[in-house]
Formats: sequence, C-alpha cells, structure tokens
Amino acid sequence: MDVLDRPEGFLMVAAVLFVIGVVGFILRRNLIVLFMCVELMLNAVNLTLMAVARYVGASMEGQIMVFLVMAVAAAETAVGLAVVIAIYRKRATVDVDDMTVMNG
Amino acid sequence: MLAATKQLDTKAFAEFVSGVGDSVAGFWPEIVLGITLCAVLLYDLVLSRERSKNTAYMAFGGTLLSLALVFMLPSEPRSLFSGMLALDSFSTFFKAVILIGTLVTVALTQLDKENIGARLGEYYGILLAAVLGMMLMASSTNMIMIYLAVELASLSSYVIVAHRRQSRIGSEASLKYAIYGSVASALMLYGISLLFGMTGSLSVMGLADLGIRMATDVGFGIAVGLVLAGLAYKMAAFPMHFWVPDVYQGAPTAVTAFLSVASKTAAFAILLRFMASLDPGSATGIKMADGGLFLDWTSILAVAAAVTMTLGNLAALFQTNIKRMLGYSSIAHAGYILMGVAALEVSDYAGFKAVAFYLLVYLFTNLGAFAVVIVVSNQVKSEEIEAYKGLGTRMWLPALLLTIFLFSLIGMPPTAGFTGKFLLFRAAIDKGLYWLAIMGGINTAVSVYYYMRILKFMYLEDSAEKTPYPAPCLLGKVLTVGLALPVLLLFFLGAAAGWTKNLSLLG
Repeated sequence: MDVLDRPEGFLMVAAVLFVIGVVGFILRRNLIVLFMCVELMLNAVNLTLMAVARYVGASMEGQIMVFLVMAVAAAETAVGLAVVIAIYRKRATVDVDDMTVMNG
Repeated sequence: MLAATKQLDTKAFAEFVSGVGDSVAGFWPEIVLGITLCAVLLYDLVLSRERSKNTAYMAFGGTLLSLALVFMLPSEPRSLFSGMLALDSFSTFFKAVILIGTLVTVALTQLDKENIGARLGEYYGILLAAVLGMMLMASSTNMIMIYLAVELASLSSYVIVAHRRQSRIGSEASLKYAIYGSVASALMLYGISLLFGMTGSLSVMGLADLGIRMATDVGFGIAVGLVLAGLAYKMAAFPMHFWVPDVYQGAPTAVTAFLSVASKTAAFAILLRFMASLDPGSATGIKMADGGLFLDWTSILAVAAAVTMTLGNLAALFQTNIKRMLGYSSIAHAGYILMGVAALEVSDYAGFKAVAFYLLVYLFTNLGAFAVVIVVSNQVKSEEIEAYKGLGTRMWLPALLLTIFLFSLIGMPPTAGFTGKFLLFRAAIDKGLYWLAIMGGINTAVSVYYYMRILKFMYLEDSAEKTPYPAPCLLGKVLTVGLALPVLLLFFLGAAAGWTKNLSLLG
C-alpha cells in the first residue's frame, strides 16, 4: 500500500507511457497509429495530472483539467480522422511516406 | 455546524457570481465575437448557402465591433474570471493586432474567392473561432486557459487549412498541420502537468517564485522546455518549424496570410507572458548541482533565435513558389522576434516592447505581401516566382507595392520593417548578446538575396508577353494600398513606437 501513498510511482508510469507515445510517433508510418500514439501521450498527461492532484491538497484544478483534456482530445482526433478520410478517398493510402505531393 | 458551512458557501457563491458579473465588463470583445460566430454559422445553415457575401459582411461587422470594444476596454489592469484571464494594456494591444489582421483576412478572402470556393459561411465561422482562440491566448494567465485557447485556435486552423477539400495539397497540408500540432500540444500539456506538480497551482503567476526556488532543478527545466516547445510550434520557431512551408503552400492564400500573422502574434503573446512571469532577470534556468553547466533561459532563447533565423533564411534561398518562400521567411522572422524575447527585460523591458512593435509592423507587411500575391495570382494564375517576370511593366501598381513590402521584410528604410528590426537589435545589444545581433545582421544580409530576386524578376527580366494586365479590382487596390500606407507611416512617425512604450503586464 505504501506505493499508493506517494505520487512517484504514478509519475514514473506516466513518464514511460509518454515516452512510448513519442517513440511510437517517430517510428510508425500508419496515420491511424500515429493518432493512437498521440492519445497515449495525452493519457500520460492525464495520469500525471490525476496523480499530482491527489497530493497537492484541496484544489480541484487538476481533476478539472483532466476532463478538459479528454474533451479536447476527442475533438482533435475527430478533426484529424476527418482529414485522414478525405485523403484516403483520394489516394487510397494512410501511409505517412506517401504524403509527399509537396516536398519538404 | 452544517448551517454555518452552508451559509459560508452561499456567501462565497454570491461573491463568485458578482465576480463573474464584473469580469464580463472586460470581456465584451470576445462575447461579441462569439455571438458573431454563432450568427454566421446559423445564417449559413438555416437561411442560405448561396448568399455567401452576406456572411462576409457579418464577419467583417462583428470583428469591427469587437475591435471598437477592445479600444474601449477599461485601462486599469485587473484579473478576470477568478484569475483565468488578464485585462491589461498588453493583452489589449495584442487583441487589437489580431483583430486588425482578421479584418484584412476577411477582405483578402473576398479577393481570393474563386480560389477558396463555396461554403463561405462555414469558412468565416471557423475563422472567427480561431480568432476567438487567439484573443484568449493573448490574455490567458492560467494554464488551463492557455491550453484551451491554444487548442481552439489550432483545431480551427487545421479545419480552415483544409477548406479546399478537392485540393490535393490542401488536405495534405491540413494533415501535416494537425498531426504535428497534436504532438506539439501533447508536449506542452505534459510540461503543464509537470509544472502543476511542482507548484500545485495552474496559475502562470505562481511560476515567479518557482523560477527562483527551482532554478537548479533539471525537472523544472524540462517542464518549461516542453511548454516552450509547444508554443514554438505556433510561432513557427526552431525546433518546431517544419510544418510551415507545406501548410503555407497548401492552404488558401488568405488563410496563409492569416496564420502567418495572427497565429504567430498570439503565440508570442503567450510566450512573453510566460517568460515575464518566470522573471528571466533573476537568471533562472537549468543549473547543474555542481555549477558546471549553466543554461539560463536567455541563452536558450538566444540559441533558438539564431538557429530559427538561419534555417529559415537558408531554406528560403532555394524556393520557387512564392508562398513557400514567404513561409520560410516567416520562420526567419520568428527568429528575429525571438531575439527580442531573449532580451525581454533589458532597460525597462525594451525587448518586450520591441517584440510588440515588430509584430504590429509584421502584421501590415506580411498581410500586404500576401495581398499582392493574391492580386497577382488572380491575373497570372500562378504562384511561382518565375511568373513575376516583367510584372513591373505589366502590373505596375502591385509590383510597386510588393517592392515596399519586401523592403519592409528586409528591414530597409524608409519602411517600418527598419524601425522594428532596429528596436529588436538594440534590445539584443543592450542585453549584451552581441553574437546574436551579429547573427541577425548576417541573416538580414542573406535574406536580401531572395527578396531581391523577386524584384529582379519583376523589373529587370522581360517576359515574352508585353501587354499590361487589366488593373486589379477596387478591393484589391484599396487593400494593397491601405496596407502599404501603415508600413511607410510607421517609419516616418517615429512616435508610433510610443504605442508600445506604455504596455504593461498584469502580475
């Protein structure tokens, strides 16, 4: 039970989740998977906020922020997936390496 | 006991309600903009899809009213909505800059109408949502509010970039913008959650003590660094600048113009507020425990500024598409402006005021340059730099005005770009960042090449065809001339810098 009384464990798990998200985003090529990696990063943020909010006392700011992050993340994914669909209809691919009409 | 608690709650609640009532008095510009947004969307949805011109008038009128209300805001600085927003001369100035940019964008959209296509009601609704987000960015003092404002501005921008659904490059640009943007906001959010862990509060004001107390803490450095990375994405600064050329090229030109000034202005407003509350004057930053490595925020920002301007300028040298070239030029300008942020607090916040003044100048200059790009592409049907050959004789007025705007982007007198750059360089030198000022000078010299190349095409090279193009439409003339005037006037009226002289931050 000792572990649950201190925030370090939660923060470590969150940090690991966040790094997995970042690494996944860099390594994977499928657009849908990229959005999943971003979700992973946002969930790491939520875990950090919840863990911290539990230990900083009476303020509800942390918990409120988690709800806002979830809502905004849903909106962000909706916009992102809408664009992915628009592209898939035209090119029948969701691979990042094919997104090269304009050369970077 | 229970009754006592209940009574206390009622009192607190009554205070909260009256606080909200007071706050609304300082929030009218945003309220008007929000109402206009809904009205435009409803009008488009319910009444008509054909009379799209009316939505343009509605958007223009609402923005104009909002701008008038910004000028009528009470001048004494105070906090709104329990510390969520600040009402101070700083936020008022930036809101005015963003709203002027919006007015011009609405007009540019009408100019570029055949390219942007139908569904203008949706377009204006989303544009106004982005503007609302940017205005909130300029005044947020709480990290929840910063996050929400940045996301409102970003999500609307992703959608509006993809407005030309049938365009291949439009949707690709939007995809790149959205996917990297969501990573940038996740980075910023992680930084915010770590800062929350260290202060126990999400208020930006709370960072001031923390900056001094935690100056040696690596974790604190990482948290602030993550927040800065998220903001760098919106400013188009290194290391989060790579989206700029693709998005600028793929978006409708009016949207590109809007993003290049309004989005950058709002992001710099947050950055200034954030860095000012970290109090860079007290030399906080990442210090290793043994004192071996000392990385203060001034040096980090200065290095970011130097790298940003160098990358932007070098890449701009090789561009053939003018929108792409202006995109790289916009990265370079983010670098110049970062110079002022690095020298934020020097000699009574001269760097801070220089940044504000430069953003005002950049607003008129860059919008003007894009206005000419639209006027030219309406006739020439091309955005390639090659197409500007012989334009000096075939379209004399746009060519002449583009010359003024490019001179201002270079920073040559007699244009306001010179005054703005002068203030930024002087702030950097006062701060003792001589190497940064020299880097800025070299970069300006490099940038002369690619701006002058357009002038060379326009005036020194002949195209096969010699007949002049028909004169631009009235709106095109009024817009381009109207944007060129402030670029010249802000130089001649030396006192104009006085507008930014009295800016102050709540806190």
